[in-house]
Amino acid sequence: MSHFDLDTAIATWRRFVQSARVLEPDDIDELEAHIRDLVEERMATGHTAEAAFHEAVQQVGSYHRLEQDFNAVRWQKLWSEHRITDELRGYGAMLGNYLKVALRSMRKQKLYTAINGFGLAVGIAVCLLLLLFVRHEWSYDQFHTHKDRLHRLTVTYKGAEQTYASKSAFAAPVGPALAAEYPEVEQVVRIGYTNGSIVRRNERLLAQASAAVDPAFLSVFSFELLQGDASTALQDPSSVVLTASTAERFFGEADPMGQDLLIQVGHAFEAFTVTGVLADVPETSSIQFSLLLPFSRMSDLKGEPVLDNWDDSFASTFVLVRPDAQSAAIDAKLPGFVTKYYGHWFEGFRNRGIDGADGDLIRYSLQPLSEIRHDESVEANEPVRSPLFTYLLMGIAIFILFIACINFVNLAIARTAARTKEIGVRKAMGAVRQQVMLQFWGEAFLMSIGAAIVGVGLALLSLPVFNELAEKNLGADLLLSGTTLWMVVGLVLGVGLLAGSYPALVLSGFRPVEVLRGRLRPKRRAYLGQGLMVFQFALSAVLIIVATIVYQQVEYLRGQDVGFDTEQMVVVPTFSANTDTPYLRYRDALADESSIIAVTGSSLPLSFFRSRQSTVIGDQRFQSAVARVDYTFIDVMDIGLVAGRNVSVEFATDAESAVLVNERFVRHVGWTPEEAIGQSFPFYDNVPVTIVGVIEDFHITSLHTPIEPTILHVNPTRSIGFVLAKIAPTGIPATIDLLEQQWRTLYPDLPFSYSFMDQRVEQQYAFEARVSAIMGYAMFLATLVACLGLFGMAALSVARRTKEIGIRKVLGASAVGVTQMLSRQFVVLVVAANVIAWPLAYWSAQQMMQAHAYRVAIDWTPFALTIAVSVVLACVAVAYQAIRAAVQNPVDALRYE
Amino acid sequence: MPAKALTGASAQTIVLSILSHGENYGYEIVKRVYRLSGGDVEWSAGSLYTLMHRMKASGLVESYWVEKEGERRRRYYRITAKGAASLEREKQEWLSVHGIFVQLWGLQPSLT
Repeated sequence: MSHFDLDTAIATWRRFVQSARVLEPDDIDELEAHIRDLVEERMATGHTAEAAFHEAVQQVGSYHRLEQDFNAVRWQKLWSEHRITDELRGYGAMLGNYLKVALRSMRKQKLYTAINGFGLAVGIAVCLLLLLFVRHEWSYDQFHTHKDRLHRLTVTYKGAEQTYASKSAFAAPVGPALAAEYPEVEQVVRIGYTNGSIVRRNERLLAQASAAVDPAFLSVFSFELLQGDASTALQDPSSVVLTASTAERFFGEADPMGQDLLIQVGHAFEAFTVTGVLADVPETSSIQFSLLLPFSRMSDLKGEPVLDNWDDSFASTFVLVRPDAQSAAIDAKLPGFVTKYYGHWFEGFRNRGIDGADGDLIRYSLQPLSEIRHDESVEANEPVRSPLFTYLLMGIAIFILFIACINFVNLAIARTAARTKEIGVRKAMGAVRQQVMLQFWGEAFLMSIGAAIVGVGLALLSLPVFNELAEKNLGADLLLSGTTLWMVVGLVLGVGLLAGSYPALVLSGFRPVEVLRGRLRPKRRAYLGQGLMVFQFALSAVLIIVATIVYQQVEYLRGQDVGFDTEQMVVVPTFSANTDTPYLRYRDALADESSIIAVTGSSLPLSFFRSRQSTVIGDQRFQSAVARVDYTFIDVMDIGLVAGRNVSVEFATDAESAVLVNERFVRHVGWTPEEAIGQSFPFYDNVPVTIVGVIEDFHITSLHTPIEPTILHVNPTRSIGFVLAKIAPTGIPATIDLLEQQWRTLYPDLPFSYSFMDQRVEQQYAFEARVSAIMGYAMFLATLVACLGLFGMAALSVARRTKEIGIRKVLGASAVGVTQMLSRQFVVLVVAANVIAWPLAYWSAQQMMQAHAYRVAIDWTPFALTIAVSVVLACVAVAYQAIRAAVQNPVDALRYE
Repeated sequence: MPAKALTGASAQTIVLSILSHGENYGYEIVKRVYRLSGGDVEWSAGSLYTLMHRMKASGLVESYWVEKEGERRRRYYRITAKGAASLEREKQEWLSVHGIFVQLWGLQPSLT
């Protein structure tokens, strides 16, 4: 108190004022003179120099209140005096100082920095991959120039009991009729997908995904035509348009234009002339094909006259609306269209007991092109992807980013004690709140920029894994493109703003006097920090629980008995849905091979497709799954007989009038299996058939849908699309070779391919398995980041309580006791987080399982498991710090400071 | 102390009036006002120098440094021609306001 020196005091004051860079040196000189005048005056009236100085400084006022006025004047002056660059350099120096302080503080707190940085990097990497995924997913069908005017026609049929089924398949004449009737329609394009055309050139013979399309296809859609003329390419009935890779497959380097290609139409190969080459169809197109044929050949390709048939619905029908018309205008007229062309169907609906207004029974509508990728309600020729997957990924990324940001905020809060002094000093030295905010946000941005760089690196490294999980083919170039750069900038800004906001907004508001006097004991802070931690652990607990349930579900599905033998069962498609199937000759040729145990055939490959038929028994009407099989089917597939007998060649009438039905069928009708034997009902073309046997239930499609009433009827001469061969478990490669040789000998004109039944069945759960894997990764990352945060929190908490621990130990606390004391608080929080997570986790898991007909029961195990895992992880994270503190010599702790 | 709004409105006119009697420096201007008001009005240095800055920027006053024998170096302010014209205009405004109050409150000045 006694050593007050006025000159020193004034010099110090000058430095504060200068550091703010608001006042010009001249202005400061003037203020100094003023202060000195005031001090002299006060001292003359008997005040001490110190009191006089403080009063004078008070009088001069906190200069930053003048800032705005001074600033306005000053910038004007700087500009007119061309000193602006000096000024900016000054600002640069100030920012340089902030940077220096920030780096110094990061270096001083290596652990804190590492935890924050790594957590944020993981969060950013996950977010980045996900944004790429979403961008890719949402870019489907967006490359068409006319995308806003393009619509797919859909039809919704009413079924029994208020059910509706939407389809996008139409009879061939529907499209042209629409175009002719409504002036709002500019063009209609029909697409008939074929099951794969068999294409041949010289020795090369391949099944290719083909589509028969109207000539306008090439001009309405924006598939890039590399060679040929869009307006004429598909006019000629013998023309074919190839994609670039298909052209290369058959012609190599040679120019395919004008060349002939043999394509199987019906039973014979026919020459088609290549009239155009398209760039390969983009991955982001819902319409996929390898070659295009003229729609005018549809009847030949299908083997039945369909072009004028109003009753055979198969073609996707796309409508290009005129630029000056609204699709709603066409929508409004569609009921009239239905009545005009399909009015006679209404009667049939009502006869089957389906009631409703005409417009409710059959409803046409136009679906915007942008919706077809994600609309699961329409049973379509174009593939659909569940948007659930996209939402799931988005949710996960947001969770992880949140957890990482919370780490940042939490550790910043925990470090408040250490930094309040710095803030106090800065503010006492004259820093304004805005400058402190700038500093904290600056630090957060610095951290998030660093994290973004690491994050992009992590994203690049994990791209292959991610591609596999998400079933995408995103390249590294996409990750380093300009758009991604903007996403990174956006993420950095978002994360910096979010993560830095607590320290910037709250810490900057501290009053320096209180901070320096140590009067700051904000209780609120602890609650916020703990609340955020609970939230964080609740998020990761939700992920762990849901991931466990999804995993259980996948295992449950895998463990389910599909009802037939899948082991060593080879499936060979015959590429023929027509009469004269290659099946019989092939079956007989394989009969003598010892490595092939048995061969049978079916119209369905099992595991994927199904075909349904309306069945009428008495006054009951219901849908049944129908398959045409060979006599040996249930023996080879090991499907048990419950009652009656199997179909057999010995009964001459079996091929015409005998069917096997499953137990579900019998139960649905209300018979016992024994009662069912001998019952008749009308089948195809109303020809009556008789039930000769009841078989055990088996899954004709995947486990996503329940087992339906199923009818098997026998006719090995027609429509056996798939050969099912049970082979010996040894020497499988040789057996496959044998299967191929036999096929090539018998049918050199037909391509050979095969798959294993067990793999096909497994394939059905590929989606669930992928979701499960993704959840697993997400769970791991989220928990890792949350535990890192906990580790940091524990470290800071221990550091804050060093003295307390020292005193406790001096007073006789044991190391174990101290460890327990330090861990207890965190364990309680983690347990609380788990309890909070339960309802959300339960709800999410239920949502995800809704799509399944066969669900694993959600029991307590995932919940108990998760709470155990979190507590153990939390203990591990805390224990390291706690034990270190507990075994420390108390003297060291107490001597410190 | 008069209301803040009144101080703000009157400060510029007061400063110009003081300077119209001769050049002066900040500390002395504050003191003059203090004395003239009988101790009622004490401007803080902060607000004064802000005002001086603004007036300088709008060309009403100009400043220069003076170093007199035995005294410390001080920045003096001098009224400019533009400042004098402004003062004349402000004076008229204040007088008309003054006139209103005088009449309203029956404060006819008496010469006795």
